[in-house]
Amino acid sequence: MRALGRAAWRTLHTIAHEQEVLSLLVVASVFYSLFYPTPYLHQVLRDEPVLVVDRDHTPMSRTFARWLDATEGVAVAGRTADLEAAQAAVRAGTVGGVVLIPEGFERHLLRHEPATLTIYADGSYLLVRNTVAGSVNAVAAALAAGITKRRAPVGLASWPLFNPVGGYATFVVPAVFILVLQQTLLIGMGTLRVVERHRAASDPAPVWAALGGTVTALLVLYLLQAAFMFLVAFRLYGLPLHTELGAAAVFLIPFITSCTLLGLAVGELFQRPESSTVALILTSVPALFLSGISFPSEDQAAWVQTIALALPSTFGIRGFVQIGEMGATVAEAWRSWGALWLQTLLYGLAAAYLMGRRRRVPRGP
Amino acid sequence: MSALAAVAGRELRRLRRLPVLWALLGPIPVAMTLLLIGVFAAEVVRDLPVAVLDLDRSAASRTAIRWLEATRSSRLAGYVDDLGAARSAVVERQVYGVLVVPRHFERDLLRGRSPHLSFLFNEEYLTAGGNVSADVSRGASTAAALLTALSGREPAPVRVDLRSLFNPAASYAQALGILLVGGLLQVVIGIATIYVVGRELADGTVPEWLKAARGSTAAAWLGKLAPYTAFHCVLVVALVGLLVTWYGIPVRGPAWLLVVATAAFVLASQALGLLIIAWTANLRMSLGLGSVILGPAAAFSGVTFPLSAMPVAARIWAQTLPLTHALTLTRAGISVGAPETGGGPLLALALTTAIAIGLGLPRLPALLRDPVYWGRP
Repeated sequence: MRALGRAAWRTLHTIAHEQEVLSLLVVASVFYSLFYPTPYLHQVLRDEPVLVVDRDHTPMSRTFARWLDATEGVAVAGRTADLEAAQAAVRAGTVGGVVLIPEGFERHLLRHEPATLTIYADGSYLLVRNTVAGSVNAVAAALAAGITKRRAPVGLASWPLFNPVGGYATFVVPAVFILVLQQTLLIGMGTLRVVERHRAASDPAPVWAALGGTVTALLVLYLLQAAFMFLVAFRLYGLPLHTELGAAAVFLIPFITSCTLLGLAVGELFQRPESSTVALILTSVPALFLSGISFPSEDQAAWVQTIALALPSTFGIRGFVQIGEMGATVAEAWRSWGALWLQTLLYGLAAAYLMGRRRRVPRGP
Repeated sequence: MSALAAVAGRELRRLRRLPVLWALLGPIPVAMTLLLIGVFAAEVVRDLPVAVLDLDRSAASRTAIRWLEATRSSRLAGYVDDLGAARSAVVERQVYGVLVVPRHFERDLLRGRSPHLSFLFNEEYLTAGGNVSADVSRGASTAAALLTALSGREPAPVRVDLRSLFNPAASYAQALGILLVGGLLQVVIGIATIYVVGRELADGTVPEWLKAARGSTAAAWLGKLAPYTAFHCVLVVALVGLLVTWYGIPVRGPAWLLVVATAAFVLASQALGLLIIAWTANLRMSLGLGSVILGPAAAFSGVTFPLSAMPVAARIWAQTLPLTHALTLTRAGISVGAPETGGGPLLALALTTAIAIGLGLPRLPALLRDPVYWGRP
C-alpha cells in the first residue's frame, strides 16, 4: 500500500514538474472546456433568412409570410415572384431556403381542398434545412387549424425530452467534454510514460504498485478536471446538468481508470514525448462519432460499431449523457458502467504485461 | 535549382527515420477516413427503435400505430406498459421515442372528439430525435387521413413538400462527411508542417539541412516544404475522392475549381503550421498550439452549426481557419456546383496564406542560423 502511495506521489510530482506533461494532463482540458463550447453558446439557429415566392397574392398568403417571419427559426428576407432567382439565392448561399406559395392557395384552403406549400431548402446544411422545415410546418399547421371549422380526426403532440429547446450546446458539449478527458489522458499518458522511462533507471515499485499509483494520481487529477468542466464551465455557459456530484463521480471512476490504463498501454509504443500527440490527434473526431451521439450507432456499419466497443469514450459518452443530461441513475446506466469496468480490467492487464515486459528486457541505447 | 533538389532529396531520406510522421501522413488519415465512411453507412437516419404505449388497445389504436413501420427513420421495437417503463426505455437508450395512444382513443375518435396521440422523443440525441419526430409527425398526418375513413372527417388541408436542394436525400454522409474529412486533412497538413520543421530544430540538425541547401535560406525552406505541398494535394484529392466516390456524391463544379481549391487549402494550412513553428521555435509547444487551433476547427466551420448563429468572437475565429473557407469551396465545387461563389473563399485562403507567411518570414533566416533555436525540446 505504501508502495502504491509512493508511486502515486511520484506520478503527481512528474506531472507537476514536466511542463509538457502538465500542459497535456491539466491545462489542455481546462482550456478546451472554456474554448470548445463558444460556437454553440446561442444553442439554436434563429432568424435564418428565407425567401417567400408568393404566386397567390391573397390575404392568406400574406398572413402565411407574416407568421413565418414571426417564428423563432426563420426570418423572411424578401418576397418575390421569381422562383428561379430565389433558388439562385440558395445556390449562392445568401438564404437558407425558399418557400413557394402556389397560385390558388387561399381558394383551395377555403374550399377545404388540400393545398401544398413547397420548401426548397439548402441540403448542404442539414441544421438549416431542418430549422426551415420545422418553422414552415408549424406555421402551416397553425394556418390549417385556424381555417378548418372541423378539427382533424387525430392530433399529434410531440414532446422533446431532456433537451426541450433542441439546444445544440446541450446536445454536443457534454459528449465533447468526455471526449476531451479521454484524448488528453491518452496523449498525456503517452508523453508521461516516455518521460518516466527516460528518467527512472531502476523503478523500485512492483508493477501493480506502479500501475495502481499512476491510476490513483490520475483519478484524483481528472475528477477535479471533470468537476471544473461540469460545474464551472457548465455554469459559466448556462448548460444544464441533471445529476448529483456523487453519481457523476461514481460513473466517471471506471472511465478515467480505463482511459489511464489504455494510455499507459498505448504509451509503450512511443519513443519520444511528442509522438503521442502526432499519432493520436486525428482520432478525436472519429471517436466522437463512434459514440453515436451525433449520428446514431444503429445506422453505422457493423464493423464500426465493433471498433467502438474498444473505446472508453463510447461508453463514457453514452453513460454520462444518460446520467448528466437525462437524469438517469448509475444503476440505469449499468451497461456503460459495466463496460467501462471491463475495459479497465482488460487495459489494466495489457498495461501490466507491457510494463513488466519492458522491465525484463534490458534497456536499449 | 540543384540546392532545392538536394534539400528535397534529404527530406525524403529523413522521412524513413520518422515513423510517426509517416503514420500521420498516410495510414492514420486513411484509416480515419474509412472509419468515417463506416459511420455514415446508412447515409440517413433509418429504422431507429421506437416503442408504443397503447392505453386503449382497440382496433382504432392498432390502426393509429400501424404507420410507424412505414416511416423511414423509425421502426416499432415493442410495447411498454406504462409511462415509467416508457421513460426507462428512453433513458436506457433502448428506444429513441415512445408513441402514446391515450385511453378511450377509439371512443373519442368515433364521437368526433379529435383524440391526441403523444410522441415523446429523445432530443438529447439531437440528430436521432429530430429525424424520428419529424417523420412521426409526417406519419401522423398520413394516419389521420387513414382514420378519416373511420370517423368521416377530413384531414388537415395544408401539406408541406420539403425538397433539399443539392442533397436530395438529405444524406449525412454528404453533409458531414466532407466536413470531417476536411477537418482531418487540415490537422494532417498543419501538424506535419510543424513536425518536419520542429524535428530539425529539436534534433539540432539544422546545419546539415542548411548545408544541403548550399547556404540558401530560400532553397532550404522551399526544398523542405514543397515536396509536402505536392504530397498533401494528392492526399486531399485521394481522401475527398474516396468519400465522394464511395457515397456517389455528385461533383457538380468544374475541375479547375477543385484543383485551385485544393492547392489554396493546402498552402493556407501549411502557412498556418509554418507560422506556429516559426514563432515558437519549439517542437512540443507548437504541436500543442497546433492541436488546439486545428483540432476543433470543424466545430467552427459553420457546417454543423451555422456561422450566423455563432457569437461574434467565434465567427471571427472561424474566418482565420482555412477549413471554413475550404468548405465553402467544396460546396461551390462539389455539392452545389456554383463556381461563381468560389471567389470570396479563394481570396480568403490566399490572404490567410499571405498573412501567415508574411508574419513568419522574418523568423525564417534566424531559425536556420542562430543555434539558440536548436536542441530545445
